[in-house]
Amino acid sequence: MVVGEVAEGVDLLVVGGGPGGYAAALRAAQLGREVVLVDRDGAAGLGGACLHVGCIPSKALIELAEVVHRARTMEPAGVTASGIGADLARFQPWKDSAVEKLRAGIEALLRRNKVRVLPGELAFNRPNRAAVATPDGNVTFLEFASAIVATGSRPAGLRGFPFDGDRVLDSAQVLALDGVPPNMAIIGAGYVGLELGTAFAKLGCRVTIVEMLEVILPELDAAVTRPVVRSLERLGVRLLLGAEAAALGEHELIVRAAGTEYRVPAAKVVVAVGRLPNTDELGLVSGGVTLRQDGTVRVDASRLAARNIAAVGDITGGPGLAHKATAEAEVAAEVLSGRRARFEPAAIPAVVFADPEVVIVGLSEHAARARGIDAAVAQFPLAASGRAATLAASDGVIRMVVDRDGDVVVGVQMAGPHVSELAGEAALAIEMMASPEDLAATIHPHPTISEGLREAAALLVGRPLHVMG
Amino acid sequence: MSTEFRMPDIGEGIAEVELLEWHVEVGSHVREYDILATIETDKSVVEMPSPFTGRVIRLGAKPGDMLPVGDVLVVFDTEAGTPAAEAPAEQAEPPAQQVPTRPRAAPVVRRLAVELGINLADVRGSGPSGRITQDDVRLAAARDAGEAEAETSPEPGSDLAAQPSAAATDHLLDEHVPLRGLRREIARNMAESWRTIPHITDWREADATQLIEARRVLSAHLPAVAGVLTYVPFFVKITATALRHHPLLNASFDEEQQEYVLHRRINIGIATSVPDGLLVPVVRDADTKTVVELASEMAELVGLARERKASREQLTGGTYTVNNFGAIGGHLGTPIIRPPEVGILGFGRISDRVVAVDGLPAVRPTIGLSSVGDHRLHDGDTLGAFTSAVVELIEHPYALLGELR
Repeated sequence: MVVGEVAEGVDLLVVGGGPGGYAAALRAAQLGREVVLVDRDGAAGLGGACLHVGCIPSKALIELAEVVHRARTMEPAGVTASGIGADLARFQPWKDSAVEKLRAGIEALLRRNKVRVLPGELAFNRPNRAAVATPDGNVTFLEFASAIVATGSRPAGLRGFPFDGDRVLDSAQVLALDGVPPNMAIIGAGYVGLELGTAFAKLGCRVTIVEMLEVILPELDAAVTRPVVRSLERLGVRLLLGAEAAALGEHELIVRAAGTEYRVPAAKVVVAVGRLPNTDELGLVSGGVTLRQDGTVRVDASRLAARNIAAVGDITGGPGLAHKATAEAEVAAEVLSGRRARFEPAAIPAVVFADPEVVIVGLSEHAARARGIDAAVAQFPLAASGRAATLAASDGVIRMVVDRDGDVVVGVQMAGPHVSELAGEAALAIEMMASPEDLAATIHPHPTISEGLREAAALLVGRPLHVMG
Repeated sequence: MSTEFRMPDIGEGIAEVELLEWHVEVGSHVREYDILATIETDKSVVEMPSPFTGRVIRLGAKPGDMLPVGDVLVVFDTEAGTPAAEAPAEQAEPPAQQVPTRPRAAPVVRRLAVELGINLADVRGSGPSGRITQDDVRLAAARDAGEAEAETSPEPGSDLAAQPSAAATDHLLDEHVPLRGLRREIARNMAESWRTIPHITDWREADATQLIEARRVLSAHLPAVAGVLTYVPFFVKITATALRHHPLLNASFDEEQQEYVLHRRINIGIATSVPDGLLVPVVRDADTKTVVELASEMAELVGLARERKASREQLTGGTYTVNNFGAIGGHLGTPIIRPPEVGILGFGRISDRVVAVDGLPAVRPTIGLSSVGDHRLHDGDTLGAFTSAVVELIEHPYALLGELR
């Protein structure tokens, strides 16, 4: 120990104030731990990328775009309106106030649980000690009994297209735009690219999405992605698959696909090709933690990365989803507080807020068969849904995958209006190992999209009412 | 081609069996009629032969599992009839593709299992469709703790009580043993009897001097049967004879029909202690058999029952039961009637007692009798008359000479 390096004792240290970090802090405090949470931005950073530049702002933008779009497209249903448009300059403060309200809520929760929140850049320098560089230029040392690392991820860049905050943007910067650009090229047709592309197209932007793979959302069966592709076509979004962004022109993006060169109009270029774990400047190795080649932290089912250090969320690999981080955080807090717990969900639901919304829970048909499961699949088209008809959104499908041997639901994929709200029911069915009979025998309210889930199950047990088995 | 062999209804009106032991394993080549497994029903232990020739690809249960009739017992590959037939490189499903089925357990149950350190793959689900419940997991944890306790060799100087949390986890060391097979059957029947039948007991003591003499004479007379000629064949003969004179004890009570049935045949059940409980093999038409005939028949029956090999027929059809609790040293008891029978007679151990003979104390070998009746059908007089007949025959066994057919 360096002379003069006086360390403050901390019972349980949480690094990062995002959905993983603040959840870990709350759970640990509930279990009687004295918790200190360090976030780069202190209390201002609570909620993490998800709240400030990710899930929440994007949903706010998507909602705005949807309202504008529907006001225009529901004209045949009798909507009379003129001069409809979106003013992103007014949208930004509206969105910021929603974000601030949620952030303040987290801060209040942490305060009530007596969690101390400190600002600063933290780096581990020993298995039980970390240095925090505070904004005022000082360095303090924390000696901790246990630590939970939840520092999240950041958008990955693309060689040749460095983020400049003006022309080449990451997802956070796009969401902060205060005007709709006339055109936009998005590199990457993952969930970020699809959500942003759909929203900006609805706001009147000419969008091109460039994807290296030949399909969008490869983990989904084509029956579920087809409504999304059709919707992108209707919105005038150009989808270039099997295509590579080659260079940046003055007003264009130069794209190569199948030997052809395309010049895609690109007042803005959005790089949405994935995310990188925020583990490089944490000194995790000094803390006794092992990193994988890709920078993610190696953890066991109890989320332990070292004897007294756990890691949760995006830095541990797997799908970068806030709800996964939160669930892992609870496990980590319990394990470090002497309880036995494991992160072993049967399903981690994933939602893409494209148009229509897309939900993936559990195994797709393909994934089930690859695991040797004797899978049966049933599919309910939303063309047969009364609620979808009233929403003028009948292009969608609800697919259910069942393990025939065990008579249990193992997967649900959906494309349709508001199906994000059905992801929880699908996950519950899988976690409870429901038989399709359980779902078919459960009364679902009419008229709702949720009836489609019941109908898919009814198909599997051989007695559907609204489609032909 | 795979063929399932489901647990057949083995004609005992049973819904499930307990799998005791496998005689084959996955991969075994089995010929038709080879023994697959030993199973236990409520009453008997049965060796289950194979209906197929083939190779075992899956076993449907683990030893100790309860297996409902109709559930898969064994899955055979019936095309792999013989090892030779299997040799051609038929592209079998690679085993790596087999996914282990996830235990059927809701998140709360899985969480509890983690907390208690239980592997759900080892837990049998008692819920619908074999769902594992929280209680199943707690039970498994309790059992594990019990085993751990049993395995801990008490080293000198080790002091378990010194563990600070020992008191808090004491309940985990208790052994929870599920009621299975015979024990469960006994528990159900005895509780049902006690709940529904108002028992009355007539306790007596009888002078066994003559009975001892009769047995001595008979053993000397027929040395070949001396080995099996215990007092029990006498008890059975005496009981059957008394029942012939008091048929109201050789009856069934039918609550539902509001009637009782007087049985023409006198079939005496003999309560026989076996390793897991009590079985009651039945001697049919006991009143028409000599004591020596009864002795040989009972020796065989009791032997079969003790080995759990008695057939369903040998264990059913009784009209009255005797219990020789004297064998364990008892004098008087409170036997419980086996419904729908209406009586049971307990015989105590013959021991010397001081009794009054002609106004003077004398030492006589004495036997205690506990004669129980169903008060719905019997009152003190009918039960007492029967018991008196039994006492009379014990004290004067030569009267049995007049009762032979």
